[in-house]
Amino acid sequence: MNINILEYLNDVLKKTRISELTVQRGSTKIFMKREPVIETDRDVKKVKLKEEIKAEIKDDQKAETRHILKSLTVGIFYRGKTKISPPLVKINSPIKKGDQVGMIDCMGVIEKVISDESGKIVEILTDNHKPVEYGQPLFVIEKE
Amino acid sequence: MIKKVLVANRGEIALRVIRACKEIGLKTVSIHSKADNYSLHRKFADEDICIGPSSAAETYLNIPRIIAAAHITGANAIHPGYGFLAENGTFADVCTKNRIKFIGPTRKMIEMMGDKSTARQTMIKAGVSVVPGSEGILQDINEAKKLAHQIKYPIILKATAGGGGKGMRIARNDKELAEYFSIAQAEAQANFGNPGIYLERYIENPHHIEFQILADKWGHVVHLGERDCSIQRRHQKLIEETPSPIITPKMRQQMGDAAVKAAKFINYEGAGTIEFLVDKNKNFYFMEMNTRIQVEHPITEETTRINLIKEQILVAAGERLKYKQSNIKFIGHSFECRINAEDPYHDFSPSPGKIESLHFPGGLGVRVDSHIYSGYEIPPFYDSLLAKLIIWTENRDESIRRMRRCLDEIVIEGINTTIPFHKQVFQNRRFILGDFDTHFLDTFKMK
Repeated sequence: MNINILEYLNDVLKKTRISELTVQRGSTKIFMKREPVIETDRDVKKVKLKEEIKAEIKDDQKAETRHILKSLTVGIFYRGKTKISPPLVKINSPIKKGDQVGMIDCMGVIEKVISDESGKIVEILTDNHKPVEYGQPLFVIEKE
Repeated sequence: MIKKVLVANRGEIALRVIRACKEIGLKTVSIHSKADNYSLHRKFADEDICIGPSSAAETYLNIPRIIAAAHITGANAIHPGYGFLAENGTFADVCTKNRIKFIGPTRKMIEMMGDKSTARQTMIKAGVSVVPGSEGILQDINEAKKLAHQIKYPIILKATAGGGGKGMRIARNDKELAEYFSIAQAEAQANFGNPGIYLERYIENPHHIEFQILADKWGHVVHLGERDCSIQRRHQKLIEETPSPIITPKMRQQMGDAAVKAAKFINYEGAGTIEFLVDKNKNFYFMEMNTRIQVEHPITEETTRINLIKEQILVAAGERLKYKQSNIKFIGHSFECRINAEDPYHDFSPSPGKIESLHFPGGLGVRVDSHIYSGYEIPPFYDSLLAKLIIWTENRDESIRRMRRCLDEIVIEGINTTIPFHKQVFQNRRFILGDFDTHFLDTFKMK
């Protein structure tokens, strides 16, 4: 078989949107089929989507067990009971609902940061002596 | 030196101040409540900070939170806008103590003018005419009668601790005075826990005329003409105009001079408004002073071409006023209609909700100061002002036609607004002729 014919048909397949091609001359039959690139993309997307769904499910499960403690005022956040005292909690510190976990100085008006969940601290989102606004996430708590 | 201004307000006035700051070259900080998460003022400022949940008490009225917001953003000046803390002497004082420039007068000036009795006494000392009346609380009916004969009937009895029309009684002769004296005392006791009453001559069908003033700390004061704010509903202004149809050039000069004299007497600094009542014989009497920028300031900007917010910030920064009285010219005529989220067919009841679609009018001499947009949800926690429709033309007749045209163009769908009310007022014969006073809406009925 003339190799040039195959190259030619291959070019035809590449340049057009044809996915299958059959050429018959006498007893010689050539059947060419292009790999479904678009389909593959879709498959990839499907897989990705599945992964995302799985991740979301995992995140949802996390969300169910995790709670974000937010600032209830605007001011300077401190992790201690006073501006100079050591942090009240660290990563993995167990806490109970109602425990003080920090304070915010709003122009001399001290607002205690009180945990509204029991569990353990898994993330500290704001550094000591940093400005915070109302609603800003401060701690992530893994619920009991 | 002012470098960064925190705007302690929301809505259209916050936007107005942010715009002025940007044009001067100052950085801006907006504060917002959680309910104002989708408000435009927080988008236009250089920095934005959430200071609390929805209530005004926890946000726009909360002095420690506002000062904390200024500190953590490095703002070295605060513009209070109008309403909220704009006339709170304590706030002005706290700002000063925290080395933040309060863009407005000092605590002393605010408190001096905020107390009606002190303001009245100050104006008498300054030689500004006040409504004739008793100096202090009336001891008994005999004293009241004697005074009523001196100042001539009709008179109005007012509660010394009062406000909002409560405890007020109008008497046109001795018999009525005798009848109402004890009733007014009892009402004052019931409403305000203080039976003290005083009397003043009752000004029948007055015009509410206010004069805009600007003063720097170097003792230089100018007035920027009057605004006629007589179209009011329960002391809430709805339409304002300048010049007033009843003020002659001679009156303008006399009243303007009185306003400047009043401001100079108290060493006033910043933008302020001296309010007068003008009776049917065109006598004018000092009513009160507002130590802040007013909602209706844009109509003065239109006829004087002076950017009031910018000047207010510059004098707060210690600059000298660059205008002398002789430089200030009044050109043309301007109206403002306050478009509120209220239903004029149902006693102006509030109408919060989502703005489904919006179109503002345009063209020469048309200005809309507003914070709303299509899809914006009006929070029910604050005031109902949606937009200020301001027009300028060469004279009052043309202004009426331009305002009618703009009111036909404006579209705010999804909520009830005061647009139908304005349309009807601008077709009212008495209004068109300038034949109105503060009681205009008592007899005006929506069709």
